[in-house]
Amino acid sequence: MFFSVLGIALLILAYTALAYAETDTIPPMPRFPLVPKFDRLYEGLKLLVFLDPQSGDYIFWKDFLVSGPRLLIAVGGTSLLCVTVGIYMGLYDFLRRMCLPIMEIVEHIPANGMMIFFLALFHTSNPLFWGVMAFGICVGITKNVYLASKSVSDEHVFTAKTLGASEQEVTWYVVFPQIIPQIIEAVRQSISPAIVFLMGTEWIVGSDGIGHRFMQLNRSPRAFMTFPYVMALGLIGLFISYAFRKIQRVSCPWHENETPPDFVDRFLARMKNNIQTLMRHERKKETAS
Amino acid sequence: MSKRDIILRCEAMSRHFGPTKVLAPLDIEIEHGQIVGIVGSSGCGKSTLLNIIVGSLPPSAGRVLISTSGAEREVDGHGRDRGMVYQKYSLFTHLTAIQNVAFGPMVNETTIPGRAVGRVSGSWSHKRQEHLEKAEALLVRLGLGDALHRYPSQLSGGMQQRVAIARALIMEPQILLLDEPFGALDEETRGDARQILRDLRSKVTVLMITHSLEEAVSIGDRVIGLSKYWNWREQGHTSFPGATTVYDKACPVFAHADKDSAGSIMLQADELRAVVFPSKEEKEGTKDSVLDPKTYCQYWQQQGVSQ
Repeated sequence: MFFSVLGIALLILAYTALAYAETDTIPPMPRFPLVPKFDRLYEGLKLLVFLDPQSGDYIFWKDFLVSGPRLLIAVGGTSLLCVTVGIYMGLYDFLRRMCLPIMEIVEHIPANGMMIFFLALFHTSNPLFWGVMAFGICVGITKNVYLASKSVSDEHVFTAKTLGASEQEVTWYVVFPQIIPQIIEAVRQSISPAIVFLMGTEWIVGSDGIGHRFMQLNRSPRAFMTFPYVMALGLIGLFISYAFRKIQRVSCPWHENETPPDFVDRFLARMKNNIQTLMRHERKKETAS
Repeated sequence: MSKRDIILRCEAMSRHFGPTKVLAPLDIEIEHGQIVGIVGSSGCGKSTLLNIIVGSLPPSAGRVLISTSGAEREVDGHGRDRGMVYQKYSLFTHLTAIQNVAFGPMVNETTIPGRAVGRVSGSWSHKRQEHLEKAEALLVRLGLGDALHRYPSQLSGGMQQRVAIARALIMEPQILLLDEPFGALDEETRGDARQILRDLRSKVTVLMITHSLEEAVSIGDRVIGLSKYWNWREQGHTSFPGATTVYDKACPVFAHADKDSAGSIMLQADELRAVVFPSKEEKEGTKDSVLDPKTYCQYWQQQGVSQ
């Protein structure tokens, strides 16, 4: 915990040093410094996350409400399809042989390169963004689920069959529940690349969304607005990651021993502990007085 | 005298994996209600034999016949008349002890569409309750009343082993196959597990792979030894045909506080060790084995049955 806090403190310290050093060494850019000081960052934060006095919009939330559902639909839909394919690939050799070569090819095609294809098909409507993201993450999810499904021991499968389970029951009652933690992890890991593909597509062809906003901000180096925006995205990413871990813990209590608590969990546990200690101390003081 | 109630018959059954011959044609007959210990050195095909009997592997030649429902029929895939307990117990990690045991009745008595309809109509919850009650009764009988709702990762090795046995027994199999069931247990838990097996004697036919020869002889009614080291050249084979049965004898009846029975068990275990495990020269391939498989396969003669 101490070293986690130390790491963050050092990062803030380095940023502060850089912000002040830039003012001294780089020819002054009073309006848009590349490494803005905290007061400028706060100004940017107000403009983005809070109400923008010019447009009357909450810029960040407006963008988030456009890009968020795009991400959710693409990741959700792709996950459903890829999880099913991945599980069956692990169970049926013919499907593995059929799909693996295709996946090898698809894996090496950059998803943004396929944008022109989706653009021709869907123009700039939402399916374009879904298509690019789905193309970019489908192989990763399918491969992870396939490997997880393959790792379920034959003995489990044979045991289920000796108990009378059909092929479908083996798939959905034995294999699937056992690999739920790996499925959740595979979907979680696919979110970062999906965001990259989404922002790239929005940057190039979008007329709204987070990627489009980055493109606008990039026209003039308004770092005081970009940095809080990126920080907000980072925090949302952290929250999503935390939410996935929580889902994993709640939906798979049997897997809890194998999932180490993450930074947020450790931080919350430490905070709770400190508050309890403080309260105990206060109570003691009250009793003594 | 004729052979008694035969429940399992392997007829010239062999198995190879590609060019690797694992089991030479075997002829084995097992009587109903016996506990049969299967021993042999590593890689001699004990687990392969059990996997063929349970239906996970097909034999390369020959056939396996079972008489679990009156008429004799050939094994063709898995069936609820044969239960298997693996060395690592293979409990479903996502299910609690009671759910693991109730899994068999669920998949055996209902189907996926049936359960879906039953959930809507409410009939499934009654059926499920029945399964869980049956599983609970069995687990309580095996001393796991306090661990019904624990996941396998929260159970000790001995408890997991009992859950695995309960999961197999709830299906009321007529043949129970155990692949090194005591491998990971401490001495105290082994004692409990042995007692569970003794309680099953005459109700269920048990085939049990074990590395402990004393265990095989003391628990089993009969012990079968498999070995790769036998005089196959002298038997007319030009290439190695796989492991075969080199030992098949009845075991002495074990009685507590009976020094004679304990002594006979030790003597038979020593004989078994000498027959089943190869000498250093045989292992290194510098000397061919001269062991004739028929020499120590005397079970049916001991029973007064002429082969």
